[in-house]
Amino acid sequence: MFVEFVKGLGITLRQVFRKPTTVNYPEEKRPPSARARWRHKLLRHEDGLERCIGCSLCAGACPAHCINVVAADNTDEDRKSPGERYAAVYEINMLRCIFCGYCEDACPTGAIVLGPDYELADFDRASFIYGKDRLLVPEPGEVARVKKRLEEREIG
Amino acid sequence: MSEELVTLTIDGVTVRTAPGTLLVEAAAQAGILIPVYCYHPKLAPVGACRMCLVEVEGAPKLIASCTTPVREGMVVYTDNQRVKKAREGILEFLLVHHPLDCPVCDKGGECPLQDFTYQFGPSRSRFRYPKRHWDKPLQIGPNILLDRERCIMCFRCVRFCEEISHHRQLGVFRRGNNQEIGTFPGQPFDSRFAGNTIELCPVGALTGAPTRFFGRTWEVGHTPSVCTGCSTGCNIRVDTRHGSEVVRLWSRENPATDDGWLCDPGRFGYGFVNEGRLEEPLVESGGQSVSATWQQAIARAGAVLEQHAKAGTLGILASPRMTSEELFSVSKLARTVLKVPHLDHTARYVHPAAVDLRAFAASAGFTPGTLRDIQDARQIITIGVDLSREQPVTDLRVKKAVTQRGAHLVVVDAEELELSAFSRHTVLWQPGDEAATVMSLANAVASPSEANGMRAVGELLRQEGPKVVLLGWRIGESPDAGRIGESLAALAQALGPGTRCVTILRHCNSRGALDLGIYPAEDPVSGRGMSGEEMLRAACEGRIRALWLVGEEPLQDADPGLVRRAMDNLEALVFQGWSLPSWLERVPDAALPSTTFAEMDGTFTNTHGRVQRIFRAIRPKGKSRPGWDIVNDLAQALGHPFESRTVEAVFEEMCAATPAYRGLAWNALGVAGRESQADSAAAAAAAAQG
Repeated sequence: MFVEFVKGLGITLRQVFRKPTTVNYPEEKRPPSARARWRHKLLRHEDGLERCIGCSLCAGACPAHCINVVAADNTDEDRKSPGERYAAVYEINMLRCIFCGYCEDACPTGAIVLGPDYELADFDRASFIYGKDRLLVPEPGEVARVKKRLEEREIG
Repeated sequence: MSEELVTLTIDGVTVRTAPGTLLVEAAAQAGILIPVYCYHPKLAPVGACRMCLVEVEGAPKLIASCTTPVREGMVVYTDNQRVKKAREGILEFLLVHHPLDCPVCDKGGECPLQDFTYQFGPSRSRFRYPKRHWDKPLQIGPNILLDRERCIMCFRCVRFCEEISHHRQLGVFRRGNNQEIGTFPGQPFDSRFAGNTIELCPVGALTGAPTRFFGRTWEVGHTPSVCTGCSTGCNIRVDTRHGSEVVRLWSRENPATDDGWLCDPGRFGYGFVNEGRLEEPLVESGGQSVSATWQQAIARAGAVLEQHAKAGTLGILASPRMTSEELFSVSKLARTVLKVPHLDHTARYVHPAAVDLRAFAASAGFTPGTLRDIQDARQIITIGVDLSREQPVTDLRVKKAVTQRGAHLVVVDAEELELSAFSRHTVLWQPGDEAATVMSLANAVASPSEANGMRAVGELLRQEGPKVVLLGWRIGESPDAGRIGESLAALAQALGPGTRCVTILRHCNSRGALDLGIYPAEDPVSGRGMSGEEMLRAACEGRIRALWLVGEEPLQDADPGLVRRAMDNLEALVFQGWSLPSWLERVPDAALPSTTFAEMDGTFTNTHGRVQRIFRAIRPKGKSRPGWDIVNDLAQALGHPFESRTVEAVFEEMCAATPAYRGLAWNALGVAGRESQADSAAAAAAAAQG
């Protein structure tokens, strides 16, 4: 009986000297899996135009009915996306979303994708309705500019 | 049955049908689907799209079932290998240049090209060359956008313009690969029936400009309703988004009223539901309108009504665009609580004898008719009504009777009308000379010897056959209506017994307002009330000092100068309606927001007396409430609460109290409505007389 007791404590003792499996979130973060499907993004074409054409197929595919799209006409003076139609309003209710990825499957232009960003907590319900201001990725040029600025800061 | 039926076999099913039936119709009767694009039951067959090819035993090639009538002993196959291969081929050709931009197309989701391609089409195309491209969308008219890339050349739109609306504004241009639908130089597609081509188009080539990107078809809710544009009572389907916005109106065929078509003013005239609404009750405070609670506004309105009703200085004008339930509640409050005899539905001058135009025509000896009578009529006479403008969908019915059945049309008016192009004769009258003109027409019909230039018309109208007279509301507004009535009596006499008369009224519920007695009538206690016009004149003289205006139409139709003077002289104004009229300069003491047709249940009575239901399609905007509900609150505030607390109860109470609506039941109205009793009773009486 004593032998078993020592054996058991031995396991405990061995764990004490092992590297811990947990991380100090939020100071430390583990890289998400390559297949992680969290916060949505609306992508742009390389020329900066929005990929989304406001067709609402994502909303049609959504089993949780959490997407609302209102389409409008593109004009040559104010062109948001290639073609005739763009999404004037694109909203996802993150509280309702079940992160199934059907929207991504349904999208004919590859505009809506689910990304690895999982930190979605917020303080009130209204702020869980993500509009285009938060979903749309910055313009490609802007991405490069931000990158450059960061690099300069690190060097300087 | 007197007519021999033809027996044929379609896919092994024996079908017996009338001779002359097209194969595609016979198949539909047997429950067999043959895909079609160019075929439409209301258009002449053309055989353009080749989608309906079927194999007939004995025929060397496949034949188009939309142009082939049934034959005795025919053996037809609609889904054997040969037909399937042909369909795949046709669809592959139709899709050669089709852009497949279904995600951005307004038709996507309700598109026969999509549906049949999924059902019968090949899953891929062998066409390996660039598709033909055209500028798109092309605005070809105020309401219509054309996308030529999507067009499959079924010509439904062109045929509609040629056969139904007779506004030949669309044509087919060029040949082969470059064939396109288009308008003629300098002539936009501005027909008032253009919107119907959006519904007819089996692809997304013609779409509505005002309804562009209204939402995807699977996202919109559908609610049956009735158009409020004119008094025809066309049945519509209200398409809504999120239960809060009307995005589109679509036709809903009812042979008794609309025959399946809508006019553009009606189809696109739903803006007032979504915009410019009075969303909360307002009360006057220090010369300004300030928002108030319902209690405050009702108390204020009730106080105004009570004070002026007691003093005998209150006038009430209720709009004929309100539902019958709302009008009934207003009338009940006026007659039983306020005891005000001054109640009318228009502030225009109307001759006292012709207030109820149907009764006016009946007293002249005509049998009240329905819009449907037009299609069986041999002779159609319009008197003082420009159908093309006032009831566009009835204008289509008349055109159909003339062009498809060879009915004779006689137009009697002050000037040549659009319909004159379809008439055998146009009889013109000088303003002020209406009675004499109608009298000479009557004489010309009565006696062949009458030589007053109307001999030919007289001869035409003496021919046998059902006759229909369409009488416009302007007749009732003529000061000379009494004499016109005598002339009409002579005309009714000359045309013979059983001549039907359909009276064309102005607003969607004008008939309802008349049935419910929203006009000055002899009151046993207080004598005859003032008409709307007399009320305005009395207001100028200070005898009417307060007005309860339910809806803006009664004043909108009236003389603007008189309205302005009356408004300036009024002490108090209570307004109830869905938006504050733009012409209203004074601040109403209380403004009570009521709902539009899209936000409530109720009934309208169309021009010939058909009672039709409207259904609630969206949530009421802001704090607006149905008019009958507001009146209930007013009654409560005045210390005489009404018992009917639901629209159904109000309807039942109304039917019990109104002779014309006796026997109608809320649940029995369905989505197509019922004819009111007045017509059938009067018709039966006239038939017994004749």
